[in-house]
Amino acid sequence: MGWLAGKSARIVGDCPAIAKALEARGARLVADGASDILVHVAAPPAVKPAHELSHDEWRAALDAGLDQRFLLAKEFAIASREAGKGGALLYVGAPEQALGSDHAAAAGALGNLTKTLGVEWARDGIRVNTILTSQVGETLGNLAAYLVSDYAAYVTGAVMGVGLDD
Amino acid sequence: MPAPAHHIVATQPPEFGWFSAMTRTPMLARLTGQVIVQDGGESLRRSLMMPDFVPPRERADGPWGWQ
Repeated sequence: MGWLAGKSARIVGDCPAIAKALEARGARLVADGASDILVHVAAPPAVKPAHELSHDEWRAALDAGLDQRFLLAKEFAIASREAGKGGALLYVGAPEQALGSDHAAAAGALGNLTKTLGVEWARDGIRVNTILTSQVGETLGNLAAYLVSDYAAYVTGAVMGVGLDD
Repeated sequence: MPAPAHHIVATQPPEFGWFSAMTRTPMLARLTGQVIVQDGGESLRRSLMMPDFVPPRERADGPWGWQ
């Protein structure tokens, strides 16, 4: 099935299931530079009780789970606008409540960021969605492929999981 | 003038049906308990600084062009 035929996709972070699903739908994976699709996968931070978190550890989790994601989105939106075309941006991470307080803060903020960017860039044809899940399998890959495809043209600003535990 | 919200629902773009169909296939076998809104972000607009909503299929340069 060529849902993503003719589209280039950049995956920042590691998620073999998503890479496999995107390629299977015809997307051409690129390592860097401009792309039609951008997927950002954040590795979950180590789980520590809140009272044991140092300020540096807190900042590192917020940086990886929020700051870097925003900066990448901004870069993606600027490039898409300059190219005069839309694009699809997808954030992938662990569920909000699954890890420590640092991840909970980053993932909670990411939800609001997703909604705001989704609306702010809707008219430019740039869609922004998030999957927060503990799952790493085939359904995650297929859901990601759907969300970055034109079949999901009406889905933006959405934050969703995969299973009931998400 | 942008189409009113009820117009968007009334026209039922095929995107709605496509995803409904996908949820019934093995592709999304483990997807459950999720609420997925397909409204192009319209329901998320909260402030006047947010741009007017234009349904994807009504954008001249939308993903499906003029189809």
